[in-house]
Amino acid sequence: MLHLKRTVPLAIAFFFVVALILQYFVPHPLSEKFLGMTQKWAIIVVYVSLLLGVGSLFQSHLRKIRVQTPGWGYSLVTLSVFGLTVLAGFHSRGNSPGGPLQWTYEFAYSPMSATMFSLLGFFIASAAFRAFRARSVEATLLLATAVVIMLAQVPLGAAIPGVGSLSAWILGVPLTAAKRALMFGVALGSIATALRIIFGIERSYLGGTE
Amino acid sequence: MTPEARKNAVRWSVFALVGAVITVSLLFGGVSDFHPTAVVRKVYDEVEALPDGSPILISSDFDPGSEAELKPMMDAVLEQCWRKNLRVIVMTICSPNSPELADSIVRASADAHGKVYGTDYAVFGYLAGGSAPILALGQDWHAVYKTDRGGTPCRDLPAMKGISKLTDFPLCLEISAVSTIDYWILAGNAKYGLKLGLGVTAVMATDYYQYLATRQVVGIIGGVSGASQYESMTRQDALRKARETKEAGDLASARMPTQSAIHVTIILLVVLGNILYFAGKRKEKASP
Amino acid sequence: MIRAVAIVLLTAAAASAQGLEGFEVFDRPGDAGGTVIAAWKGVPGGDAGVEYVVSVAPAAGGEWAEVARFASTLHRKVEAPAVFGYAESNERENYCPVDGLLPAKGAPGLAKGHSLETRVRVEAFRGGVRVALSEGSASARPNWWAPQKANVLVFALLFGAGTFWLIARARRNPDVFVRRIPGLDAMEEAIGRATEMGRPIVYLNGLNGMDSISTIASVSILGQVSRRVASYDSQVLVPCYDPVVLSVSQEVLREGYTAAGRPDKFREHDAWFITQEQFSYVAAVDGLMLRERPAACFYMGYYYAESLLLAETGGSTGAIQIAGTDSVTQLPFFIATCDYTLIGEELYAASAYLSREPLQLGSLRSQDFGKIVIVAVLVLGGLVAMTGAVWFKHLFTVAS
Repeated sequence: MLHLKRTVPLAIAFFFVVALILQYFVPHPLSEKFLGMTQKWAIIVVYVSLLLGVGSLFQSHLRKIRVQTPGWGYSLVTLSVFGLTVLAGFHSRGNSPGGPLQWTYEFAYSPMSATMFSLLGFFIASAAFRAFRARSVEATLLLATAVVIMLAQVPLGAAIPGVGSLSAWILGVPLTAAKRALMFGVALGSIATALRIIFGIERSYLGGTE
Repeated sequence: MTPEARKNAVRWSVFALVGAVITVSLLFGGVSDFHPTAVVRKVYDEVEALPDGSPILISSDFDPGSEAELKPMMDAVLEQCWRKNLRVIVMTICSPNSPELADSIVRASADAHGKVYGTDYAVFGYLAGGSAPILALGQDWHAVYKTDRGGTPCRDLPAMKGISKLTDFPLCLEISAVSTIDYWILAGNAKYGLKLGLGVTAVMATDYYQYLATRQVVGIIGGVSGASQYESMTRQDALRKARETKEAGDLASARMPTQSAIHVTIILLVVLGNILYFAGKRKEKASP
Repeated sequence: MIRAVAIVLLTAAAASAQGLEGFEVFDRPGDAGGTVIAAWKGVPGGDAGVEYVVSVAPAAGGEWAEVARFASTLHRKVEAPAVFGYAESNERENYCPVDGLLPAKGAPGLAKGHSLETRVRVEAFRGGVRVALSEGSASARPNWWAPQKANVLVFALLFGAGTFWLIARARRNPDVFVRRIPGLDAMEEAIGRATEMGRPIVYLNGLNGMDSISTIASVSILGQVSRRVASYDSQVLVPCYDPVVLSVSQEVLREGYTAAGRPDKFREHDAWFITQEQFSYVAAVDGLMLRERPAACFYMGYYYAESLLLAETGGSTGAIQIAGTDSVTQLPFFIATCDYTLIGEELYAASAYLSREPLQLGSLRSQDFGKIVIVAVLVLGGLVAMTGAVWFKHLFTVAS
């Protein structure tokens, strides 16, 4: 059992990671074919995993309804809307302009989603007001930079001489330099993690730390 | 008043102020004129350099949450594509909800220009799996997308003529609100050398500047301001009409006065916050 | 009379057409097959104003078919450094790739390395008169090795070997110094606070899938958190954005509770899937925070525009907030709203930091050594570039 849960997945991970690394250096059609095959498998795995998600969603909300935990009514609404959307999808055969699926999308999902995103504007203003303090030289520099970039993003600020070019310089030089440094770190971290996965040191993706 | 209650009162005051500024500027704002910056112009120039009738791939990787920022961008780009008679192929790797949105945006724009589905443009469905579908499309488009979103086989779509893999597109525009851009850069550009232009939300734009210097990305259209700049190059007629009739529709340039107002408000809030902070510190020092 | 003279002269010129300088036809190295390259320096006397015409024919015989016609300045070798390197003369010399020579699908022998032998002819015309002509042939073989990527392989091997050496060293001497990371130290405190208050902890793994390094780091931390949660008899709620991450999170929780000797306390439904829609997910998690009023919120992994929406709501409930992300654009939002923030690599280091496992600490060290090498290369590269030399830059270029 432990073999199935640990050794076999580790062996599969080892094989595919090593094979796909080698694939990068091998341009032969057989190697490309192998890459294509693995990508198709990956796509299939992702789609099948969506079923896993739907299963979990149902399980979690059905339990809340059954046990009548506080707020179980929301779970009822969630499952009902889920069912209605699926029905609308079947009715519209996945894609029929003007059908109930498109209606749901345009008049329910779309405005609700946009509303959630628009909250960001309010939260940014509130966070900026509370957190942007010129506590030190570094914080003052950060503040000044933020003001320049914000001004350059709108016609009002861009009309001020020098703001546009200063903003372009900030984005093109210091920002790019800092981002590259961070990316080096991220890339090295990724390689180190990949090596840990290949040789079974990192096992958290298998669902355990031991 | 407890510190918690004071914190909440401040939060709600800021929210109310922001709400008021947005409402007033939406009611009384006009249509801005925003000259394109170099990074936005680069995308325009790349599209402009395509020969008439060329295919162009647009990966529409956003959903309604980011529609306000990215739809005007897509409209502005499509306007240029139609003028140049490019064959526009739209796909998405972002979410199952994205094709619906992409379809409606492209159809509305195409209908307004008398473009025909299948001949001048085609919309393909959602592909899950991050970089996996891009790698697969780079090998064989038809093995991944056998049909378009409506179920029409690729061979029956004249817009797909001559396209068998990703690199048959001389240019791909990735219009995105999520990490799909990284997949396109790593799999599309690094692996297959696909030429990439980006259209991203404002908050993400700074994330991709380093790819300009390495020429992995030809240009970046960032947020509503980027869209407004693009509009100034491709939608002059619509802008003129909007100024005359005061009806701006979905134009990004009509949102810029609101954005200007809110940026200035936030800057003033930050200044006010600092004044209060230093005043508080002085008071602290003064009190024994 | 004049016409006759002209015809005679043209015929003579054509008959005396010389060969192109340095002409060769060869298989494109490091490709999947299907392409041969014709390369030549130019025509005797310089190729200004010359037009080249490239034609192909099967080696077995058959008619010539024109495949390209271009002005002499159009296809210089400098465009293809993967084939010709970076010699200065490449700016003046010509080449033309001939693609599409793969046998039809299902043709026999391709996998064994067989391919089509193709003849390539290049003619040079000046003012409509052919001034040079060369012919050659080559097979468009698929290759098993891409030499242009050798530098990537060398760096990968060096870094890999370095990592293993450091892991082996850490195994022998597990006392590896890792600087203090206050955010991780505060986790213990946050879990204790949750137990005292009798409120749960909300733990988010970010919006990326299991293929993301930040998600892998996040579930590693979840493993450590779940052990402490189990031993303190507290509760951790893990609403998931990705179904695969959900499945892994459930297993991690199970392991954590088991490792802490409290398998009976494990509840599978403490980790559940919400949706793969960004703002619907935010709405659900914000609602959860407002209803449950957690004592602590942990935001680990990769985030997008939702970071501030989540952290502001979490902050409004009075929870201790600890974030860890390598999403550079979202870091400022977390720094502004959370009590502690793990920046970039601190997130990757978290698992090693919390577990103190020598193997993980060793690989952490290799990252630092990798960075030292990169900084050294950058400084050296800068100095070499100041002398005007470009060879150093080319050592680090994956040529196309």
